[in-house]
Amino acid sequence: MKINLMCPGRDTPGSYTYPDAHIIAKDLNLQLVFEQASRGGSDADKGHAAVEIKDDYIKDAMRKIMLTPLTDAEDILYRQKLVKDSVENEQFIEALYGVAVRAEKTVSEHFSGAGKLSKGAISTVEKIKYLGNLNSYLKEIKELLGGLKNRDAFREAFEDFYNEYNDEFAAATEEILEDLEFITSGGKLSVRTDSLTGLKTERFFIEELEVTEYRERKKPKSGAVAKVISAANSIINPDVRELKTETLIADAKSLEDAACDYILSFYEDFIKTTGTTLKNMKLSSAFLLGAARLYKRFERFNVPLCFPEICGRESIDFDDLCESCLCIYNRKKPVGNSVSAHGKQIFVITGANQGGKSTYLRSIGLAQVFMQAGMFVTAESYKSALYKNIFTHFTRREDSAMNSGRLDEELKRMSHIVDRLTSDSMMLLNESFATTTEKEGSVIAEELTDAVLKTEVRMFCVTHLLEFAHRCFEKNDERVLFLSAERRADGTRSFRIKVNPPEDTSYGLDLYDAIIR
Amino acid sequence: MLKSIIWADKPPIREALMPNFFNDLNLDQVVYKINSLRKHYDIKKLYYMMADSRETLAYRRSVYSELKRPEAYKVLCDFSDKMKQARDFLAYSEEVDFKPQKNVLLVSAAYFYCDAVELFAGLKSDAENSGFYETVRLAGEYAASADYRKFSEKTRKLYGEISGLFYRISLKRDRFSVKEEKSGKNYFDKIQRAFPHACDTGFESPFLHRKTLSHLETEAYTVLADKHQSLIKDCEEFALAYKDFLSEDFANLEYELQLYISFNIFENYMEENGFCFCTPREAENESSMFRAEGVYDVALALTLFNKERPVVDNEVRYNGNECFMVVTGPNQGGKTTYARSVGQLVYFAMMGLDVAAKMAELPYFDGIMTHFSVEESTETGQGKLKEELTRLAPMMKNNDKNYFIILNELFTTAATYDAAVMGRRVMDHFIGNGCMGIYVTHIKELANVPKAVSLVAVCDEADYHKRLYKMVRKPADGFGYAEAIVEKYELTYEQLIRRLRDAGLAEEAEGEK
Repeated sequence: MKINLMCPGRDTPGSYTYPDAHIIAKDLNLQLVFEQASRGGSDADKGHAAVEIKDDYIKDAMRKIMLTPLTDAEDILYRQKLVKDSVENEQFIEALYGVAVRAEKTVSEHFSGAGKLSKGAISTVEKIKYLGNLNSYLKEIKELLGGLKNRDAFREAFEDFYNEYNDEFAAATEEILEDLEFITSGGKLSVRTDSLTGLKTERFFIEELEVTEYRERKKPKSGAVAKVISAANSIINPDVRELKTETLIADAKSLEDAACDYILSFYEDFIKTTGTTLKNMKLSSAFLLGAARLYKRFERFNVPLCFPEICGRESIDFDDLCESCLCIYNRKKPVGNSVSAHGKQIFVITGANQGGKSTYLRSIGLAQVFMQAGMFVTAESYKSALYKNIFTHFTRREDSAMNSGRLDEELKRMSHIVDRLTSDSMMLLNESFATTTEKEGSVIAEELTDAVLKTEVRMFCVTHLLEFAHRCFEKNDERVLFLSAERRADGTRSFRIKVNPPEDTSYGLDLYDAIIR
Repeated sequence: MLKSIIWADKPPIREALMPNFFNDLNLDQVVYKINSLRKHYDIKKLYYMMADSRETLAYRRSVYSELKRPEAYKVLCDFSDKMKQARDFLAYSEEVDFKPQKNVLLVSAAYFYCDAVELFAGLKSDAENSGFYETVRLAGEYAASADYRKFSEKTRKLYGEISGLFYRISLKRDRFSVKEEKSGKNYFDKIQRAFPHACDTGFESPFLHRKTLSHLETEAYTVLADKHQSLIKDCEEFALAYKDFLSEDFANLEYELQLYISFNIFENYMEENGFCFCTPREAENESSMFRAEGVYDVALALTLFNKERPVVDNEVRYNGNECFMVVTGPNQGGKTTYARSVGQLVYFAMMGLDVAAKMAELPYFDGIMTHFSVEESTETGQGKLKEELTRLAPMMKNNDKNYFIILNELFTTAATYDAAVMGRRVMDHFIGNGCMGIYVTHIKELANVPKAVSLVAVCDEADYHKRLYKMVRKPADGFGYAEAIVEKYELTYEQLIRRLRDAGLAEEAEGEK
């Protein structure tokens, strides 16, 4: 029985995470997104840090799920519907997460030893209690679902649950749980043997089991009076005997325990899968809650939001795309960018510092990660293909001091990326090969670009290597799109990135000097 | 009365020592695996019993080919199972002290024994005059004797009555009752409401872990005994009359059968995993005719199973008067594995079993001798050479003829010249005695010894780092493979294109740029 709050027919995010996910998370500053999603409580937006409720589990859930990409359109649409339902029913998803938190605690305690006997096995009584607990969590979930106003919300996700935890099963389980009480309350048990081998039976079959009114099993009596009573009883009713010794009592007890364990054995799968289901539901509901909170927050910052569309790999198309982390930082909508590119495999983004190049690159990376987690994107519209792998190769300017050790390190990372490159990859290069001279760096970048053009890999490349950019531009390959930071007539920057040939710079002058002089 | 099915000309034996070559050829690992597939029997010693005559070898092959017939295989497996149950019940009976229980268990043992005997005696085949069927015929005579039939009749009657016993226990607080009746109620009905597809298997008796009766079971027995007094008495009489019913002949037969059954299970297991076996043919003419195709190392195959790595197979071919293969080539090139695989082939052929190959034809050998260098030895230089020679001496002393010899890296610590001379002498000795064999070595000169054929473990021509694990007949070249320097990050255009193409990202080269 699964509660499929992740993908169609699945309650886990999948096992494929981005290669070197921690690098993507760092380069795209995803930590900020995870953190924001983990903040609950209505005061969170008013800037009173002190009353914010942070939930580290939600943060981890966001990390785990956002870095586990969906690469199937059907999965994305399914997840998008879940996220939309969660935004509309935030209270429900919050309550569901609440149940999951408590349930997961019960489950882990059960397995971590709270209910274990000294020898490491879980006692029959504890098992019955555990089954009872799991059952009550499922009942609670059913009640929550009953309270949903919109009958269509989450319907697919809980289809398995409705089918398997049906009324008949729930009713029978309640009864059986009551019967199992006999082990603590006392009751009647009768069992029949199989055929006997060497006067012993291999298996017993339960004929009857019922709880009778509570009375503790008496210690065996001794003495003359007891013997007389016992003798008298056996005359009155010769078939009925007394458990007159400690060993007989122990035998009876072990038979009762075995009968209980047998009944419980039918619930083994149920116990196991329900435990897993509830545990998985903690992760999925945490993610959905986090996503819903993020959505509401962006809404309050007046950031445009959309559920992205999926298109073929030849196109990318977005309108007013805002860098999500900047939205969170600034608590308002930052400058957005728009582009509509078809048949453009490589974006080369040039321009001087502080022009918004890195922000542009990150906004695309973030949008792609959000999209592939089945979430919304901070844009008016966003349309892109799905990429199994996203590789980021960022060199931060502050540590781009020229020395061979750094180039070595940088190329090693690049080589590592090439090792794992697939056709359905997106590469985000930020100031790569800046750790060497412009001349050398340009050669490396050019060769890489030429090689990438032989594949289907999509690449966004922010660079200050103007020699590289110009040579690329002169090749006039239609698959390469050049963009640069917009500069207003008065020389100020708009932080917008527009389709533009590489900026005129000293490169041109150098060339002029070289040829004319 | 019954004959051995392992030896053509002597009675069954139970004891055997492990042959010296066993561990060198990693056969211990193979037999360990075989034993794990045929649990409940200790079959190790059976695999130490190599055929010691051509007659025995032929006899074993005829038994094994008969056992591979599906009808016969099933009967023989069932026979083994029943015999094992009979022995288990006997042992059980001896373990308990409570007389009525003891007697009842003896009846059960006898019952399975009768089943076993009658199964085996009823075995039918077209090959009725083979040695194996002589044993079947003798078993048939035994099963038809008046004494046996009386015993079997009594056994079945008593067993039937015992099997019909059952009881019901009801527990309620400090009382309980035992009755020989069914209430007609079944708690399982309720369970089925929750689990419509479940089935009622009952639960294992908590008293099963001890063989004696628990107190509760003893109480139940007294209720039953009261109502079945004559049955209890009959069992007692039976136990007195037939205490030693189990014939040693059948116990031996069961034991010897395990060689064939276990190997057949193993062979099927290997075949299911994509490894082939075949029945070897014995070379007809005396002049050393030995060839095989698709030969592989069974022990290696077992370790590579789960890693989904392919196991390379090789060819064995001694042409004309060739009688020693000298294998040279790079380290880790598969030379030792090859030598092992050929050794295993000879061993399994000498056991009268099937061999790990696609096709095999080989002569009859009197035995196998191996000499593998002890890699773990901490001894150095002279010490190791001495140790090697000490182990070699007894192999050469007896002047054994017609043995199969496997020499692996002899004299590695000696100077090359010395090693070449000594190696030559050793080979001449064995060749002179009419032995065949394999010599794995670094010394290419040894490949030029008369009657020797040179094999080289080859590498990929395009990439010297890639071992192919294939042995090829060609002159020893003594080529050394220095480790090429790996180009650092492989990020030039050409390297990138190659890498991307290898990964299936870029189309085939167009030769531009």
